[in-house]
Amino acid sequence: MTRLGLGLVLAMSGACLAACSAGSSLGGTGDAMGSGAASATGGKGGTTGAGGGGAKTSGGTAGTGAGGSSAGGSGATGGTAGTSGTAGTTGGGGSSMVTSCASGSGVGTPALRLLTRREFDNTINDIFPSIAGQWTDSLPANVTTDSGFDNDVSALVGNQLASSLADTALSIATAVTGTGFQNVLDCSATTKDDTCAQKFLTQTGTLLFRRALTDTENKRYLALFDQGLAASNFATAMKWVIAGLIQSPNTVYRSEVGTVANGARKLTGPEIATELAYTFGGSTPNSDLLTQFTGSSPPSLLSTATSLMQTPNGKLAFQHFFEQYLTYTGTAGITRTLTDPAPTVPYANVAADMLTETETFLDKIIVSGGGANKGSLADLLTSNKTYPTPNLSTYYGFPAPGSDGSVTRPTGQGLGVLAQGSFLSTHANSDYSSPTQRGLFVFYRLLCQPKQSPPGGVAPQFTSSETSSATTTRQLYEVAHMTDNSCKGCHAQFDPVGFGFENFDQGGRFRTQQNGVNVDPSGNVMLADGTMLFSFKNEEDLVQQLAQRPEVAECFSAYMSTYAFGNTGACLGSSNAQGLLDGSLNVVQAFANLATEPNFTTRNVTQ
Amino acid sequence: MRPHLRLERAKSILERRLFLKAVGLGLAAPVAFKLAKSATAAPTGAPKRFLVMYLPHGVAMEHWNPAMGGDGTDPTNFALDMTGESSLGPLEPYKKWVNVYQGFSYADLGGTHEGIVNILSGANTLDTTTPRITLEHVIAKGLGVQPLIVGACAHQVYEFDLHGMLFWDGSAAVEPQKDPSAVFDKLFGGQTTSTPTQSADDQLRSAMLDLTTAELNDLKTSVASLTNEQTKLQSHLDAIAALKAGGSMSGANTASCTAQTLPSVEAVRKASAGQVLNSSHSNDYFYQEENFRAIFQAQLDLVAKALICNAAQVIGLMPMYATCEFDFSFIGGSLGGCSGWGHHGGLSHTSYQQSPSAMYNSPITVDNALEAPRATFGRAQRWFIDQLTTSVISLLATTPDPAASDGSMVLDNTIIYLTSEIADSQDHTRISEVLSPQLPSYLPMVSVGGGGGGLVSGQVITLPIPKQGASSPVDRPATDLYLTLAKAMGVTATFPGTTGTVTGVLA
Repeated sequence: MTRLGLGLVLAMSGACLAACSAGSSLGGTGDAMGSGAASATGGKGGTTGAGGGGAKTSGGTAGTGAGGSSAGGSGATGGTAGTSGTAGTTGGGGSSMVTSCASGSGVGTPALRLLTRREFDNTINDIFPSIAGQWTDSLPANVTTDSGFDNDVSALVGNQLASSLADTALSIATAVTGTGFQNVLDCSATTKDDTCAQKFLTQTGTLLFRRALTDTENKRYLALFDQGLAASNFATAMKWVIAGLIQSPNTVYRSEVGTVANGARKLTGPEIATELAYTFGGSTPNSDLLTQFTGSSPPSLLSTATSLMQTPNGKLAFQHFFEQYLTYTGTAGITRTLTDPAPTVPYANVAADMLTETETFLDKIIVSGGGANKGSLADLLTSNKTYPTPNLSTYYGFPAPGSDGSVTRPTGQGLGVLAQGSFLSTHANSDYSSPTQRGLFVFYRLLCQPKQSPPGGVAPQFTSSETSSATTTRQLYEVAHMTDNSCKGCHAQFDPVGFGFENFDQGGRFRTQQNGVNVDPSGNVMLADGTMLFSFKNEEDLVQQLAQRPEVAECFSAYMSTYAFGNTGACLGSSNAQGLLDGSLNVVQAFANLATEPNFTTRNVTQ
Repeated sequence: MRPHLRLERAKSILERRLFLKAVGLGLAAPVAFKLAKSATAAPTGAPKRFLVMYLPHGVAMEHWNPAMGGDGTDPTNFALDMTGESSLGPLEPYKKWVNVYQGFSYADLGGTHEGIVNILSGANTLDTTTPRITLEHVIAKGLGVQPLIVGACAHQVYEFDLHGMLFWDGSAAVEPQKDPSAVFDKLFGGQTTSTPTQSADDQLRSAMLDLTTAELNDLKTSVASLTNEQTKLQSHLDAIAALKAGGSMSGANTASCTAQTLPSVEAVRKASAGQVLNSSHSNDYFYQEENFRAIFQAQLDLVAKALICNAAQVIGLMPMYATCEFDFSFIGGSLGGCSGWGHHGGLSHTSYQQSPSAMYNSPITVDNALEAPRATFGRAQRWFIDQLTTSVISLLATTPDPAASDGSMVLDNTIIYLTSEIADSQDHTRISEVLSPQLPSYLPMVSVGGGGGGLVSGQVITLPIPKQGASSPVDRPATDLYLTLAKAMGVTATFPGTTGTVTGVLA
C-alpha cells in the first residue's frame, strides 16, 4: 500500500480555508460582513461558523471576517482566543457571485455597456469583412469579475483602454483606406469629396453607431474630413474620420438607456435590436435587424433571439457563456502527473482534446438539442453521451467513438459535463484531485452559495503528519479539513460535495481505487446556512439529484441572466428557473427566453 | 594560471559580454565600447527612472534573507550570495546599489495571491471606495509621464482576473502589454514620438480626439440623471484628455537609441506573426507556456533599452500572474522533492516543517525535513533575479547615462523595486513576523539603484517585527516604503495608511 507522499500540493485546497472569511473582493463587497471576531493574531482562523477570517494583518490585530452563526473563535494554531464576535447572519462568507432568485423578474438599471473585446472584434469583422486579418487589435483583455464573466455592465474606459482603442481604431482605419478602399466605399476611387464622405457616414457610420448619425454628429465628422482634406488627401482625411467613428463612445458603448415617459424607461427600437444582436448573436445588428426594430411592427423578440443563437457568432457567444460558467478551459498549459496507473496516452497529448470534447458536447447535446431531453439542464448534468476524440477515448478507457463522434459512457463511470476531463482536470491539483475545488464549483456555480475567501497566512500544503496518515485523497482531506474545527467550518460545506468526484483522478480518468484502496465517492450536499439537501452515493447519483433541485435551476438561471445582462445585482431573469427544472424549457430556450424578461426592454428610471 | 591573470581574463570576458549586450540593445558600437569601460560616477541631477518588477509566489525565506556579517548590527555588512539557492545571489556584484527592506506589511484582509490587487497601492482588497493607484502610476503621475506596463503571461487567456491585477491607474486595473514588438514599435518606431512640427496625422489625431470629447460630453448630457453613467463617461473623458495631453512615456529625446532592433524582440515578433487564433484564443502565442522565457527575455531587453534611452521613465514589469503554474523544469537540476515543476503548486508550496509542532519553535536546521524542495524554490526565484540582473541591472550598472552629462551610470539614476504578493511561499504571510528564532519572515522588498542620488543604497534596513502570535511591535505599512521611494524619485505622494518615510533610506 502506498502512502501519499510529502510533496503533495493543494493549490487553493491544501491546508484549510480556515474560518469562513470575508467574501467578495473587488467585484463587490460581502454583504454579510461581521466584525471583530476570531483569532487575535490571525493564527489559523476562528472556530466553526465564527466570524473571523483570521487573516494575518499587521500587528496581529483581530481579523475581520464574514458573518458567522456563532461568536468568535479561537486561533487554532499560534493564536490566542478571540474576543466575542459579532454574530453574522449565516455561516457563510460574503455575497454570492450572482443573484439567485426563486421567482420574479425585476428590471435593472439603465446603462451604457462597453463592448467586450470579443464583441468589438466581431463588430469590426462584420462591418468590414474585406480587411479581415489586416488590422491589429491591441485592446486589453476584459476584466473578469467574481461572477466569472468578462462583460460586466460597470466596465469603464481608463487610460489604457482609451489609448489602445485609439491605436486599434487607427489600425482598422488604415486598413480600410488602403488598397481595397473602393471595396468599402466605391466613390473613394472617383469623387473623393464631401459627398463621398457623407456616403460613408450614412452607410457605415449608421452601422457603427447602430443608428443614424444626428445632424450635429454629421457636421462634426465632415468638419474633420474637410480639415484632413485640406492638410493631406482624401484617404488620410477618411482614415481619421473612420478612426473617430470606431473609437466613438457611440460605437463602443451599447446604449441601454431608453427614454422616460409616463414614469417608465423604455428602451428604443435600435437599443433593443442592439441588445438582441450582442446578447444572442455575439455581434452588432445588421441593417435589416436595425430596420426591423426601428419600424412600428418589430418581429418577436423570442424568435429573433432564437434565430440569432443559431448564427456562427451566436453559437460562439453561447459557447463563451459555458466557457466562463463551467470554467473548464484550464487544461491548456497545465501538467497532470499520472502514475496510478500510468496513462495509456500522456495527459499532454489529450489536454486539448478535452476542450474539444466539451465544446462538441455542448454543441451537439445542448445547442443543437441532441440530448435525451432535447438539450435540457438535466442533459447538461446527466447525459450519458460524450464526444471524445479516438485518442481521448483510449485515454479514458472508453470504446472508440461512433460514426457521429459520440460515445455512450460506460455504466457507472459518470454522467454529464462534470464527468468530462476538461472540468475534472481543471479542478484538480497537479498530482491528485481536489475535492475542495470540485466541491466549490458545485457550491458556487450550481447552488449560488456565498463566496468564501481563504484568509492570508494559511499554508497551502498539508503537513507531513497529515499526509503520512492518509492513503487516499479523501482520507487526506478528511484528516486535514474535517477534524480541525477551524477548517471544518467552511470545508464541511463543500468538501463532501467534492468527494462525489473522487472516482476521477486529477487527469479526469475514472478509477475505483487509489493506492490500492477503494475510493469512497459518497457524500452530501448542504447549503452555507447548514441546510442539508441530500446525500449521494457517487457522481452519477450526485448530478442526477442536482438536476432535480430547484436551487440548481434557480442558480443556473441566475448565471445565464447575469451573463446576458452583465449585471449581478438583481433578479433579472428568474422566470426560466421552473421551466429549466421541469424540462419544459431546454437550455437554449431558457437563454432565448431572456429576451422576453422585463429587463430586456424596460429599465428603472433612475440608478 | 596566476590569480591576477585569471582576474584579468575574467574582467576581459565580462567587458566583452557587456559590450556585446550593449551593442545588442541598439547602442552605437563606439558608445557601447565606451560604456563597458566606464566607471561609476556620482549622480547629479540626471533624469530618474523607475522600474517595479513582480516576483511571483513569495520566497523561501531561508534562501532570501541576506546573511548579516559581524555581529549583525552593521546594515552595510551583508552578503547576498551564500549558496547556489540564494535567490538574491546574482545581485552580489551590484550590492552597493542594493537595499533589502525588512519589516513591512501589506494592509489587507482575506485572500492570499488575490491580494496582488492591494500590494502596490495600499488600498485594501475589499476597499471599493478608495481610488486604487499603484506605486509606479503615482511616480509616473508625479513625473508627468505615462508608465509603461509590460508582462509576460501576466494573466490567463481571456481571464484578466484578480490574479493578474497588479497595476492600477486610479480607476481601473491596467493589463500588462504582452507583445514586446508592439511596445518596441511604440517606443522606438516613431509612432508617438513628438516632433517639433506637427504632421498632418498629428493634427488630425488631435482633432479626432476633440471630436470624441465632444461626443462624450453630449452623451454625458443625455444621461445627466444617471449617476453611474456620469462617472463612467467622466472616466472616459479623463482618459481622452490624458491621451490628448501627450501620453508620452518620457520627455527625453530618444533619437540616439532608435537605430537598432533587439534580436530577442524580433524573435518574438517573428514567432507570433500571423497567428490565427481559435475561438477561445487558447492558442495565443503570448500565453503558451513554452514561449514564456522568450517573451520574458524580450521584455527584459526592451526594459533595459527603454530605461537606458529614457524612452520609458517609469515601467511596471510582471512576469507571470499570481497562481501561475508554468513548468520551471528549465531551471535544471533536481526537483528536490517538490511535487512538480509548476512554479506555484509544485515549487512555491514547499513546507519546511517536519511536524506541526516543529514549525515555530524549533531550529530550522534541525527540524527542517524538507530542505531540498525549499532549496529548489530558492533556485527558481534566483532564476528571476538572475534574468533581471543579466539583462537589465548589469547593463544599467555599466552604462553611462546618455541623458546625463555627469558620467553617472543609468543605475545611479534608477530605482528598480522588486516585490511579491506574499512573504514566505509556504506560509502565505502578508506581513513580516518571526516564524521561528532562526527564520524571520519578511515581505520580499528590494531596491536596486541610486535613484538619482535620492537613495542611500547598499544596506539592509531591518525594522522590528513581531514574533508570530505577538501583538507588538507592529510592522510598518508597505506604503511607508512607497512614500519613501516616491520621494527618492522626487515625487510627493500620498498612500493609504502611511506613517511617514523610512529612516535611513533617503539621501
